[in-house]
Amino acid sequence: MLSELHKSTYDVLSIVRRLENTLDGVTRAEVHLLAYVGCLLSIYHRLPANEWGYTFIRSQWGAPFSADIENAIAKLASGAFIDSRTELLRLTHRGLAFVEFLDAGEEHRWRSQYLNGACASALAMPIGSIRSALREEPSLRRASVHQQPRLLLDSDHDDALYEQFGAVSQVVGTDVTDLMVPSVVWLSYLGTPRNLEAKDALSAAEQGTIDYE
Amino acid sequence: MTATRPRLRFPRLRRVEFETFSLFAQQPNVKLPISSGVTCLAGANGIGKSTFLAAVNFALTGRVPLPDRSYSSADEYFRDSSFFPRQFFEGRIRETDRATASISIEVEIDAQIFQLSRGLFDPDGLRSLTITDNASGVRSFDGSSLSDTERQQAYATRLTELMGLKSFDQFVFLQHFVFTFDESRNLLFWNTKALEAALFIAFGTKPEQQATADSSRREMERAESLGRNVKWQALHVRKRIDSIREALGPASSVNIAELEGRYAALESAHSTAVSAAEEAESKAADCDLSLANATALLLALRREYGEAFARHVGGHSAVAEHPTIVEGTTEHHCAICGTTGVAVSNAIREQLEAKACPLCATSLASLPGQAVDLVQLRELDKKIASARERMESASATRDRLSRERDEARQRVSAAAAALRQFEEANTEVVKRVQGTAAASAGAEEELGRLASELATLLQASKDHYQSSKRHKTALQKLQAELEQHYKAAEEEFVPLFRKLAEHFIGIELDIASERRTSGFALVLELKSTRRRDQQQLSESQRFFLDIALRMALTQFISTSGFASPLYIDTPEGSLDIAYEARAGEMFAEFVKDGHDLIMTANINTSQLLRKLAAKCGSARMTLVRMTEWTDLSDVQLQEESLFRDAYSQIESDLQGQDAQ
Repeated sequence: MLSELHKSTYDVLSIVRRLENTLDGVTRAEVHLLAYVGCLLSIYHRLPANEWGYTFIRSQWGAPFSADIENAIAKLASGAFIDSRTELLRLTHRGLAFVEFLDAGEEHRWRSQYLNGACASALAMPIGSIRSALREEPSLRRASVHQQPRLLLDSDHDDALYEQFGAVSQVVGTDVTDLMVPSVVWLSYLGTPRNLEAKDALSAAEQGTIDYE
Repeated sequence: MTATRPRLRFPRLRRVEFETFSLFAQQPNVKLPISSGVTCLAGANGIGKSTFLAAVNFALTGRVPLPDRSYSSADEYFRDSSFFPRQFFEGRIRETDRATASISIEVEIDAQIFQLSRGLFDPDGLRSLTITDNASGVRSFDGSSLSDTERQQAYATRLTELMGLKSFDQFVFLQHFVFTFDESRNLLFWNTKALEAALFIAFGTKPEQQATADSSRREMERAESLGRNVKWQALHVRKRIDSIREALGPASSVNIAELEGRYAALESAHSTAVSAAEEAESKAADCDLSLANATALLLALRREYGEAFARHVGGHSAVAEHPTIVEGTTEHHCAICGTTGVAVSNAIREQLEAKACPLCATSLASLPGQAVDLVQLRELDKKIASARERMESASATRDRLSRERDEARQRVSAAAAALRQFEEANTEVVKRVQGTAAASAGAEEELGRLASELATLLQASKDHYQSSKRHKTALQKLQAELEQHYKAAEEEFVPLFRKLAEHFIGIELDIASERRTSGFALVLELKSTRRRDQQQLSESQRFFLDIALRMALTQFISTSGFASPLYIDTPEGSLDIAYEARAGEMFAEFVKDGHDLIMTANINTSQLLRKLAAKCGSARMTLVRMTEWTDLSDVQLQEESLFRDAYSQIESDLQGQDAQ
């Protein structure tokens, strides 16, 4: 996939902007995590994974990691768009003006809904639950058996992921504009004990009867 | 492949004289010297402007261009148009002037001056002909001792030889179909047969190829026509057999005529389906090209956007906004060493004002990477959105056209299957018709004779079909060669056309070659979209692009300095003033390259004439006041001052160029 820095840069700015005032800021690792959830939601909408514009690998801690996101954070900090002096990333005035400028344009509009769905999930359920749920995400699970880093979502045969998304769409429908709903349902399903039947787990997730902790 | 093709020479008009030309009532014996560059005969409506150009064509070729310029072959056109001059001049010339009315011209070709005179009602004879060497003044030919017909033959032979053409017919074809854009507005671009003939002369290795292609096409069409006639005769014989069989008894009840009718209908349906499928294929191919273009544009814009974005994010112009610096200036606290106080913020501001980095004192002016103007990023963003829409639209069109193409292919298959099925069934019918049944001896004899006649006709039909196929193969071979030669010469020809056409139309355009069943053709591409049909362009666009094509062909086929003039009749038509000005520039561009233009125009202050006059000046343009040649109508007489003003305006534009 051709690396497109402007996409990862926009994603960093957008995620930080959405979460800095509600979660007291967002860490680098959370930016990687939520960008990955955004990418998964675009796949839920049947977009090819390579449309997302950059790739992820499974980090040694089992979480998704993107070199492009890391590169974007470094460039944004260097250009005074974000303040990265503490663990929590924050937008500067310049960064806020730039992301508002980008949001008013056309080029990034399509991915805004996926980032919004991912960030809304972080507000709806604890970020720790999202992190642990994603460990069960098929692509990350498959990568975990290898010692060498593996590109995530790089296979045309992610049947398990598509099966899960198919089941989610049966529960919540396919024509949802607010992607927070399928996102939370799916992440909740991933977080349920593995001996539960998928449909039951999804149903439980939809009814909010699963204890995330 | 290297293009080796002949460069031709064409006669340049130097003088025109009329004798007792009744239409020009004020000056029936008008004499008009023709200078290099533009000769513009400007006049009022109905004054004889088109007649003037037709008469010059008549003088040059012995033919007045046919209003309907359908083309089969150069020799057939020459032969079939021989009736027209008499009909054309009838009514324009008074009965009492018929015997004396004539046109004389002087043309120059390869340093030879041809002076000839032609009676207006004698297309195949010349009243006089002399040829003089321009440099020495020595007369190399004097036709005074010859008959009118012999003089015409001598003129045709010598001129053809000097031009380098195969026949005088070819010159007549070029003169009427390429060099002349007259009031009938026949467009070369969309006259496939004529265009192919012109391309054979322009791009073929020798002029004979055009004649050979004409001959192959004629023989092919002749064989097809004969084949149809024989089929028609066979149909009647079958009908006769059918009626005899009917009379003989119920066993021969097959209605052959009805079957023939059905057969013809199936053949026609198949042929129609094939044509429709070909068209659908072409449209789908065009659309694939458009989609590829749109996709490439989108990718390029996205790359540009990505680069601009990276430059903006990576620029070093925002040192003052860096959080560490902001903390120092607003909170008076140094994030590096922990010092607090106003002195901290003052020290930082001092460095910033000196355009230096507050941390390392490096000059900020020397740092690479200027931030990109956000306006530029916004513009790219809009362009991407527009390109994406275009690509999505092209993609949707391609899907539709692909479906239509598939449906068209299915219709061809269905029509072919129906035809095949019928032919198999029809064989049985013919067998039954030819078989012997209980019949009277006389009827049997007649049936035998008819069956034999039918067999002969069917064989003849087959022979004609094979002959047609043979000629078609020969023609296709020539067309393939022509395509190769065209492609080899494209680099020279296409820029000639584009230079002229873009002057007029002002948008990106191109010209591509295409082989179709109807022949080798050129197709226009505007904004990367092919415009096959005339209807896909406005009338004025069609006219001027066609003129540009004629100009480019004229330039291309001619030896430098020996190009034919173009003869253009009242081109301004329905142009708005902006396009009038563009057309004027296009004409001026053509003349600037050393070509002559003989044109007529309505006298008004159109931007075409004014721009042309301003660009050419009196050194390269002559304005002829045609209103002085004949009687004006009452309306025109009442408003004559308007004509004078318009002439003055254009003459002033001519002088303006001289003054510069």
